Amino acid sequence: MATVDHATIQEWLHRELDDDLAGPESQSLRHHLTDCADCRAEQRALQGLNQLLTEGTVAARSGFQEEVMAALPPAAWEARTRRAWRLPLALLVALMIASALLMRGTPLEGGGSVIGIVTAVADLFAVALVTGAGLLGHSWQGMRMVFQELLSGSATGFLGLAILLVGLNSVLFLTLRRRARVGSVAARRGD
Amino acid sequence: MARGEERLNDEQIVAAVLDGREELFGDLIKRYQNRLVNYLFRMVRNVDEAHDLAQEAFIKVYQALDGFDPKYRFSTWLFRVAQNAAIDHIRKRRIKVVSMHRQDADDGTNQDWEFPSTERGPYGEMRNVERGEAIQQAIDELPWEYRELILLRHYGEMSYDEIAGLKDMPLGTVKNKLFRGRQMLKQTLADYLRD
Repeated sequence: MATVDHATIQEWLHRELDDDLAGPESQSLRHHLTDCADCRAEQRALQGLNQLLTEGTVAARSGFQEEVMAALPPAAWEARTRRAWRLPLALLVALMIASALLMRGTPLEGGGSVIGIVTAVADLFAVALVTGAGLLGHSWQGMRMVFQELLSGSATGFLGLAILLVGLNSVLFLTLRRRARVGSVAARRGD
Repeated sequence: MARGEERLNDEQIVAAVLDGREELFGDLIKRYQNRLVNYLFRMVRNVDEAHDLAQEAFIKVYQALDGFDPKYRFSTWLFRVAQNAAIDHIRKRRIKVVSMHRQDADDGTNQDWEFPSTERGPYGEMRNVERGEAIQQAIDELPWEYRELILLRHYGEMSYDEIAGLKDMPLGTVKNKLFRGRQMLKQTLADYLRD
């Protein structure tokens, strides 16, 4: 077996400590240690140091895993997972089945019953969409009317609106500032 | 957990979590919680703060899980996030490096720092405290470039490869710095190694 210099042996001793030495290098080290008292002393010292450093090891407290899992806020990517689409898809299928059951036996437009059911469900969604858009549009119209009333009216109304807007913005600003100060950890704990 | 899932590596678990099995993230927490808390404890010297920082790291990682690149190791990413959080925390709070059992001069709080007793009796306890202080002081006295690798290796239980990935260092440099750091510790703690 070839002679190995002490610098290499030193390196191997450290790697052995880190479970990074195997095969022929490990065998060479064993062979060298049988003949070299200095390197054996060095090995003992390194093992002793490792032991010293291991003292006082701290482990995660009991239940830490559950604590972290409970504190996980919903991540943005969760909405993009397949599971996130399962419920809406299941609801859609259920709705289609319910529609099919309710409309069974009823004469349908378009000839075939399946096409008729699909058309009816599509019509239902279209009506819901139009209704929703109408409600939204009227809500905005209502808001516009309220603001118009306040602005075109007396100076008191205008002042009231200004105070309301400044007040709401201040509350929002203070809340965000406080949240930033409290820090993310406290927020996650639900404090 | 099903038997097949026990063999999943970190990257496979991440893929499963991203596929909608969020509960599997708990396995990653279980896998790393002790190493992470132990490592962070050595950095911030307070058990509660170490837990808070570990929790913060897990949450940050979870939030950004879809940005994880599977060609890198999960452990490397997690420890990098945790290390940054700890450094940031130390900087913000200006935690002083204090000896064990000593009152913090700034906020008056006790640092939770206690080594398990390996020697019995009052004399043994005293020696444990003394030895614990000496170990911590020896680590503190190391230049940061060595100290950080010693902490990652001995308390974070990271492999050479993981440390190289985390620190973006060649493998040879990692080994060299670890060896030199240990040599320094060995000299400083020579009295305790002779026991």
